[in-house]
Amino acid sequence: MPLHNIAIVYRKELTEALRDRRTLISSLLVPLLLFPILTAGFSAAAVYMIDRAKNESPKVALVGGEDSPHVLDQLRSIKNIRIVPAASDWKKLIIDKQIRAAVEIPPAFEAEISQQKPDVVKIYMYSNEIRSETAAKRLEKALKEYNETIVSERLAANHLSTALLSPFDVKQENVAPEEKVWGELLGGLIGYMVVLLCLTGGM
Amino acid sequence: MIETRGLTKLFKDKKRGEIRAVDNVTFTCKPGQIYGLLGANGAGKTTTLRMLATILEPTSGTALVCGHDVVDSPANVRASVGFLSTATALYPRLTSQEMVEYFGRLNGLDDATLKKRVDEIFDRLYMNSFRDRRCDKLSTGMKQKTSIARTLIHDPQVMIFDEPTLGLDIMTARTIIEFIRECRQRGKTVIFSTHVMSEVEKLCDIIGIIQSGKLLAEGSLAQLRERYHQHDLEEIFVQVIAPHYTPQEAT
Repeated sequence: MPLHNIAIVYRKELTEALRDRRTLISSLLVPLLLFPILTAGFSAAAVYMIDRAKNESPKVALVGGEDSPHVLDQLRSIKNIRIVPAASDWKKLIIDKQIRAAVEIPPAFEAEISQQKPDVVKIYMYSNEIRSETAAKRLEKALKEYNETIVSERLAANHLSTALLSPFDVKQENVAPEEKVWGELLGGLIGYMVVLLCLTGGM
Repeated sequence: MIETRGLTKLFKDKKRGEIRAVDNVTFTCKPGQIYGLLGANGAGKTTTLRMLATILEPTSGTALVCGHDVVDSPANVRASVGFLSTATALYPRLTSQEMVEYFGRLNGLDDATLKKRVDEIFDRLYMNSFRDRRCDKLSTGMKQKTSIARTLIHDPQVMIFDEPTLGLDIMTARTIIEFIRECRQRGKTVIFSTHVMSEVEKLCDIIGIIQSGKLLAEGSLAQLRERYHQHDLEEIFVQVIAPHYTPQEAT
């Protein structure tokens, strides 16, 4: 076919395509408007949810621990958490989202610790529920700090340094130029977009 | 001018084996004449016309259209031919005028000639009221007029009509019949296929009766009446094809 005729056919095809609402929606509206709106919308929604969870003071039920005043003090000192006494149905309250988490201190916990016997503190939470996970993370962080305090006290009692537990640190450092790092990211995104546009074009 | 010599087309079918759709067909149609190819469904009319329009290549034999061989010079043949059938599709999202202009450009018309030809044809076929309307919004009659305009835009010397009135209402069909007559008056070579006897009686200078791919009889209406001792064309047609007709051929 002569080039001239190819140009005529191409122009006709383009005219037809631009007048086809379905083609316009799948090839222009969806990738240029809908995808960015959806992406931005989901990101904004996620940020909002995380912020809300961070700013909330979740209610956490305390199960046991009456004979362990130090650990109770440690838990009560956590900012943005409201420790409440555990009701008999505290697990159901977590599922119903009435409370966000619960922490269970085993009987004679501090006595066991003082005798250097290992013990387990359990945190109960609602998996994948962002506010419950936030509460659980705050509890875990506070309990880890308490754990480290006890380890430090034990080392000090035996005239040992805390450096004994951490002979060296591991650090990661980026040596690639910034533009290469961004290029890598964009390169991956372009491939993803091409596949996505091919699929929407074929719809 | 159309001349076919031993035109033959074979198709291969997995179930039915070799099918001789057109079998050694020879005829001539001169400028200013209308040649009517009359046959039942599946007789080979459309295959013959498609070979003349270079849509299909003959298995053997030859056809010359305005002196150009359909196998050796298909581009020249296409430039000399206007092909119209009821099944001819229009591009739904182009306007009537864009549709006609598109085919004009494909046939190599320059902008000035194209504009002149479009204006002439749209005036002649009373198409100005819908020239800017999209083809998918046109009535059946308007669509058919657009199809006619498309076949005429490059002023072809040969017009091929494949059952052009099939499924059309009487008024639209009359427009087509008038148009075919006008083509003859303008000195064009016209060939058309149909199984409507009244159309053949009204229009054709020469009638070719085709069945099972074979041209069984040919002549003017008067010649056929004399040869088969019948006045009614339908009776002549039945008399000619009856010995060759099997119902399963009608597909």
